[in-house]
Amino acid sequence: MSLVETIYCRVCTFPVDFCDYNKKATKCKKWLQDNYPEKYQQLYAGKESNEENSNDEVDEKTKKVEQSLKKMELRQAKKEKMELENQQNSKIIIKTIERTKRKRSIEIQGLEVFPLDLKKLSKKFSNKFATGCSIVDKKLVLQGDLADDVELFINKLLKEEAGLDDIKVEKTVAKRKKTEEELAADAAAAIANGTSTAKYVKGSELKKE
Amino acid sequence: MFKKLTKEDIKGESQLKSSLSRNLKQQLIAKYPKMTLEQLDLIIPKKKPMSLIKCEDRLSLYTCNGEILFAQFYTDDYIPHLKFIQKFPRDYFKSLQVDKGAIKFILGGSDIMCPGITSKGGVLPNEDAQIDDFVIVYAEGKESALCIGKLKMTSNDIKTLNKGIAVEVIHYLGDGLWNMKI
Repeated sequence: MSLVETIYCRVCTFPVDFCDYNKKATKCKKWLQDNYPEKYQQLYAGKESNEENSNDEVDEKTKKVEQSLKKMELRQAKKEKMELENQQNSKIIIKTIERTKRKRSIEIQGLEVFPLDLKKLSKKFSNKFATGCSIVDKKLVLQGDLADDVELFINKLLKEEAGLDDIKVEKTVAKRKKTEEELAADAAAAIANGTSTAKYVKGSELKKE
Repeated sequence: MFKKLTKEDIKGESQLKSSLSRNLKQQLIAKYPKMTLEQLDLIIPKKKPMSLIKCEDRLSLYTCNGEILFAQFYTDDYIPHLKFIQKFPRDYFKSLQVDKGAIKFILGGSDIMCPGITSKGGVLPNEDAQIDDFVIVYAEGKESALCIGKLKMTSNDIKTLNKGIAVEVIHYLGDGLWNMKI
């Protein structure tokens, strides 16, 4: 005795006869038609001809079910469209942050809108660029001055994995805040040079030009 | 029951002894007499070890070849995964059938009410099915199993009372267990 073979839909993971109860039914049908034309005929051929001939034969309950399914699908399609638009309109911001001395790190913002797993992405980044990469509240922080490389890489990644093109990527540079000691030193130097008479007072936001 | 199960609930994985998988097959045959050892060997080959995945809330999952076969709470009965059930013909299990209108709600995770079974298109569970037995739920006009649940009323009661929850749904298409990938 052999086993029963069930075909599972690659789109929605359901057995193919349940595809129309899924929210992606149209896509599922297309997939089935491409991959298992025989099964498709068996499942959907009768239905289509029925609709054309007469609706009287189909009892009211079936009609109701079909209607509600259609509604569900429509809603899902709308939702997906919204999401796509959202993705198209969103911006990725790559921010370069100065660390101590000449060291820099970059922060990537706005990736969470896309269907990418941040955790996996961070591993990918750290592998690719051989640096540390961590997630700080939905932002990726990479160690090292890699803004240009990352921009290229993100563009490539989005095209490959999400099929999205022309996503805006913006690069900014954030200056590091100077520490108090440095501010004091700067002020002292300015006085020595005679360019400024303002003295640095601890805690104040006074800065020399 | 598995609605919220995600990958994050997994605590650890360990291999099982082959004696345990042999035992399991024996138990399955005892429970479902129509299954044969050859069939089970196709699903659980002797050479491939089964593994046990432990999850939150004392849930353990039995897998083989990267497919989940059973779930088990504490040491209760094995709950077969739908993909496992769909490998066997319908008459192997205690089963019932619901009408078209109920499918949508079951896939949303609701329990099965009596009218869904008694109406045209539904089939009552086997006479010998007792309360708290696992039943496999099929749907009108569909071949594959839709969900697995626990029977909450006897066949007779469903027919006469025709009100309230008849089957408590445990595992259905598209729930957390179904979407779990290992």
